[in-house]
Amino acid sequence: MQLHEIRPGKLRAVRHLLPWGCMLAAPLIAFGQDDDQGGEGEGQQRSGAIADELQHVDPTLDGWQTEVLQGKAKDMVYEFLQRTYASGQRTQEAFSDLISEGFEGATSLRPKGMQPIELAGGTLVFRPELWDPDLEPASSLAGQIEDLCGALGSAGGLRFAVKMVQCRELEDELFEAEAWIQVDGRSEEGAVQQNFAWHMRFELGEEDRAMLRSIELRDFSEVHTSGPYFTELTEFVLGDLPFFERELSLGVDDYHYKVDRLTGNSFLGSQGLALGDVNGDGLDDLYLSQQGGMPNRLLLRNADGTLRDFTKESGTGLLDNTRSSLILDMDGDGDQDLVLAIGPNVILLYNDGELHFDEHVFLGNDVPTDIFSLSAADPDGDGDLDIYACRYIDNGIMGGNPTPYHDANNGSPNLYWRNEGDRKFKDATEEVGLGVNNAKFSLASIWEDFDSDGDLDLYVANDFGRNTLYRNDGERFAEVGVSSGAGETAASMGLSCSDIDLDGDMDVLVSNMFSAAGRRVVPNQEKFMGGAHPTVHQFFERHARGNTLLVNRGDGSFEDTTEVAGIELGRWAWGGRFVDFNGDGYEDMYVPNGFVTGPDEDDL
Amino acid sequence: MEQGGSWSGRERNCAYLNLGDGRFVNVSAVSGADYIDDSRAVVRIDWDGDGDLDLLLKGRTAPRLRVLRNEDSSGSHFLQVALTGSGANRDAIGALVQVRAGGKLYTRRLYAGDGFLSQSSKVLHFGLGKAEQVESVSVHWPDGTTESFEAPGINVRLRLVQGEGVPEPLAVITTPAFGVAESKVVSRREEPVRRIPLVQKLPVAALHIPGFEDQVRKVSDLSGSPVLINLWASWCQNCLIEMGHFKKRQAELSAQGLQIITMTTDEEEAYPAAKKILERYGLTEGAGYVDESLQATLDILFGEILGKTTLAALPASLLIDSSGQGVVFYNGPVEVDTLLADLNTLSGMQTANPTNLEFFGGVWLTARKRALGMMRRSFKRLGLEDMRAYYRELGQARRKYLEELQGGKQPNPEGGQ
Repeated sequence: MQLHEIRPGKLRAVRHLLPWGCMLAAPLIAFGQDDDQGGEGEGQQRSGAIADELQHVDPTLDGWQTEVLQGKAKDMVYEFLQRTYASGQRTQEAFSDLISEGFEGATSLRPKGMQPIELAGGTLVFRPELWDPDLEPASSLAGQIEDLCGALGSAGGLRFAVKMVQCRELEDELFEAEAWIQVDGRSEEGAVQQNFAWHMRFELGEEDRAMLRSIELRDFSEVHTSGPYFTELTEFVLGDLPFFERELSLGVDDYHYKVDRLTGNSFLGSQGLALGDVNGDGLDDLYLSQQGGMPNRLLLRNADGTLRDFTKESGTGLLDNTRSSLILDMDGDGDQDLVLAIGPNVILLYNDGELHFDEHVFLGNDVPTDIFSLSAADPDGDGDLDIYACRYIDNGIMGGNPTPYHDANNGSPNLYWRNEGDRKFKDATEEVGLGVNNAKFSLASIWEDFDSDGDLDLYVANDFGRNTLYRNDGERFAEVGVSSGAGETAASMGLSCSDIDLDGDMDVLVSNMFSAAGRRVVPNQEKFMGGAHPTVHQFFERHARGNTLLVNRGDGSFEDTTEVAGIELGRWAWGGRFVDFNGDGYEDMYVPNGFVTGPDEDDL
Repeated sequence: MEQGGSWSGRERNCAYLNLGDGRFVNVSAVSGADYIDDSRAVVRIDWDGDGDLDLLLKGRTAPRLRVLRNEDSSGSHFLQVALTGSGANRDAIGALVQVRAGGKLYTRRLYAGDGFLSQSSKVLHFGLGKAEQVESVSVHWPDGTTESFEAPGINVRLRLVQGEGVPEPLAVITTPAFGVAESKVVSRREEPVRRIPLVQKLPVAALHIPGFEDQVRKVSDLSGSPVLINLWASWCQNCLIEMGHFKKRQAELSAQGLQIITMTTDEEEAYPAAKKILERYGLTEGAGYVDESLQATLDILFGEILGKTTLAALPASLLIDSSGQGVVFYNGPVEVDTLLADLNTLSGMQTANPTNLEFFGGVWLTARKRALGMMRRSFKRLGLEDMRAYYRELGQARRKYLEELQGGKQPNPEGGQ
């Protein structure tokens, strides 16, 4: 398509008129829109609060010197990895131009004498707990690199991923930086992945290039598998659906630019999915929540593993922006109903037993802010299912940006809808004690009996406030987040529970934001909120740390074992889940990631 | 980010293996599932019935839905359990199931809503490793009672019904076609043609659209048949290409009763050249030009459709029904086939109804309202008196309509804003 420049003249005066073609890389985000229906609060928040603190277009201009240095260090690490792994020539000469003349040495880069742990399916894991922390002399560097790179054997298709998590200036022309590095490759025997952390010192050499002074290994693991745990079946399962190409295989923004703003279309893709056997044939079906203007889809499972569309027949193709859905028998009549989060409303769609969902019950709310995740359970033990709805920003007069940012309590209140029978519900949030600490920009919740006393407690993931844990004391709930050790301050987006250590009580995976930029900038930069109290800095550092694993002590109190478990690097995590990949009964984890990927390559 | 950049984008999904001693190991890269999508939610299900957990993954970037098959070849044993509770909570949400096998105790609870925005299969999956038999199965039902079930065999799917004590077999999934090889979907972006069907019609009958012949003309003067207002410029190649397509298939378009009204955005001194171009394409009839007042009006109207940040392009066209209300906006060149299909849809519609659902194929549960008041105030601010008066009338008519609805039938529940 031919592009046109913008001509001078009256077109300039027309804000919305630009020649076709300029739009191919059109501005994307509807951030800051205050009058659009269903505009996403989370985006506004991030673009406001975090951007002000973390996002700097040109770090040199406002004095973020270490942000420049980390960029140099990262370039150097990539170059080093490319040469050492890829070339096969791992002599000192191959990388001598990356090493400072004052090179002090490196610790062992792949610890010696590791014993493999064998897991189901023949997976071998090398995960040492201790290694020699002393630097070995420069002359042994080539040998250490051979140990490290040689462990990949004949694997090809090498990929490198480097995250800089720390950077600090030392004395003149010297600085130190820590990188988390991931290397993987494939061979006929399977696949191999190395994960390691290097704490490095650099000096600035010619043309201000970063030259290595030393490398200390801070963490190491290596995995050999016989093949991938997952392959993709998307096209097989979905490819025959008539709207596969125009709906399912598209991204959210592909559609976003083609809709009337009245659709309440949301840009951030916060629409989920639910599984359940809607037609009672023993096979789970799928309900897809969709962005405004695109119908939600009820897809029934065929015996051969494909899906067929049943949206129109069932009357469930709602066009409203739908964040969350549940497939449940809400009235105990033996068929599966739908519970949806649309705007501030919980909407129940009752199944008439013949897969028509024409009877709607609205649970509305005067505070017009959108619901994110839904959960249902019977915490009051009266035999029916109640609904809990998480809400985020309060756009009202008293609402706005999270304040204080690291432990806000000025979001929109979450709602506990108690089932009163006969398809009637009551907002009992305050009545049962769930109104405490209830405005913390919540995104997800889970009902679990953490203290093993026989009733269900409620854990809530909050983006800008501490996470809240409501202990069920029978008649009422008590908020015990901080005292139980579950008062997580990180930016939490999702929750999964299971018994990861086979001790009979339930542990928690909290999906949090991980920002390498946040990890770098917050702890080390005087400029980042200079003058703030040190504890505020700690909050911020924690805020960007990454995922959290909370191991239950059996009494409903938790130990944060994240660092021992080694699972922080979840990136910008959303709904991470425990999933047993290899059937050994020990829960593994899968963590969906990524905030907003635009067409340009740059990112923090 | 507003300029098309990313923020924590291009982040690969992560996977960790449990080593069984409190530690995990990062296997993201070798998991086969380290997609670079902006993923949001994942749910568990044994999709192919082979005794391991497959995943469905929902994300922001294309494709928005992925199905991932677990390729575990460890031969680990398993037990899968569905529950039926007594009472109103028939799904037994919140029940805790404990399975003892190979000397180990495995504990799972049935949740409705966890992770983020999602609900997994209600069939609970127990990986049992190398255990040869299940020693015990007990269920802590939501009503507080605990029930032991007869120990079943291994690698089976069962339904446990509260109070029955004996497991029932659950339907076996047969998946004849599951020998298929990996079937990835190619991430794609749709062609950047922006056809925007309007959720609610956009009233434009009073819009002043000066013609070369008739300078005081309004959209209402053209009513009686559908109209395409086409904005173009003589220097805009794509505008001319589009006109070429209109010319080539003029007979088909006329058969649908369509009047194409081209409105040039050129400077006045370019009007003679513009008219020559129109003659070449046979589009002189009714042709006109965009003056300052029309520019300002379109700015407000297009803003109502596109929001604040999406830009309009040239060519741009608005399809207007025979009662003077916009139904589809084409932000960029429109294909004749698309236009014909939309005309066909339009011909079956009731013009009086302000909704435009025929273009969507679904239902709205919450009310969608054009910001008539906001637009009216904008028109007033810019001194666009005709449009201000027109929108004031529309606002009054809508209020009356809603009052009548409330007096009689059940109104639509209000939306969020």
